[in-house]
Amino acid sequence: MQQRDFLAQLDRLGIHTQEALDRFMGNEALFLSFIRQLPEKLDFSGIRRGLDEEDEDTFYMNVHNLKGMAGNLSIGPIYDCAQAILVEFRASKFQNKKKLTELTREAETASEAIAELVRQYLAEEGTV
Amino acid sequence: MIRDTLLIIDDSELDLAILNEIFKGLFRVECVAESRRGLTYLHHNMERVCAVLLDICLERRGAGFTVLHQLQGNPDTASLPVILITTDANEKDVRASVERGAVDFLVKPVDPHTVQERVCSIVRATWPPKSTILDHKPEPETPKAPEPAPDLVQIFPQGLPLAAAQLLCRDCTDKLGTFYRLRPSLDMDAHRQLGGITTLLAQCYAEHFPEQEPTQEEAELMGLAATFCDIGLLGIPDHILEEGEDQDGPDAQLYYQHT
Repeated sequence: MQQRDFLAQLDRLGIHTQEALDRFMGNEALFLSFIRQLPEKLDFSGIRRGLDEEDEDTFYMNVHNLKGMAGNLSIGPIYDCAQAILVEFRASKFQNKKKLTELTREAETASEAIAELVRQYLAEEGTV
Repeated sequence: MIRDTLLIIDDSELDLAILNEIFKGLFRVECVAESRRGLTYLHHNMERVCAVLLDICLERRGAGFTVLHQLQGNPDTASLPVILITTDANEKDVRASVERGAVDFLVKPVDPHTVQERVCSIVRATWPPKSTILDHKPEPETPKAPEPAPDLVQIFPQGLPLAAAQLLCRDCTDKLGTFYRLRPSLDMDAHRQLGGITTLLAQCYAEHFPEQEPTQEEAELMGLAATFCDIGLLGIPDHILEEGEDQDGPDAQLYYQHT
């Protein structure tokens, strides 16, 4: 997979690559170095644990960090989900757990597609 | 000492990478992931720091406010502009930022050009003119393609002040002296004397005919310029230069072309 194709496929999965590259001041290599880490970084275990145990700090910080990473890398679908989770959580903490769970699942689904694409790219690059 | 450093305290490697890219062309950027390292750095480099960018959620929610409080409480750092970085621009955090003494806050994900403008504006408003790196453009880190050599009109534009001309002449004379040392048949002292004599003659004329050109200042400029007469000799190969005027053919043509 050529790098251009990879970036195009990231766009199709909702990552605004040009917006992210602008944020990285055009440093494509640096941007891609963080994209390569996504299969590892898109880890929802902390969020699920916080939700299951109703641990406010764990849940909040993990969603907060997810939102920050998604925002910096312009991963639209995950950013939107994380933002919606935080808005709901600030308003009602764990009272609407069903909604928090659904939003988390939605973000996780989007993450899995992106992580799979990145793994595929890394495998073809020979860096896995 | 010129204030040239932007200190960024953020526990996110990604945030630090982006902010470093955004600001490295404007400041010397110091990135630290822990508040303790940031405070230590400030303790040793207070005079260099222009501003501090501080993550509100350093490792835990609101931890950045603790660091802000420490900075505000220390007389050595109280005047330092602190700009908080947050992922959430909710009203509570914004109000807290302002009440606790932060001069501004940035919301992630940042827009590079907006944050550049805001941070630079804050730095300029905080420190006296010429005291920060923003007023002293650094040399570019990456080498640029060489620009075409400027012609004499660009080197000596009309209206060049005498003081600037004297400085320019001194630099060029030093360089010329280096070239001449490598060419035994060329004599830098003779050129300096020529410049001195030209200055004296021109000044004498200006003194006796004050209503006419040149003025005293122009007379001195003429003397400076005279130092560089026959500079074209540097463009002639040694063997032609040594033959001098007594030669024929294309070599003679080349000799006279430059003298």
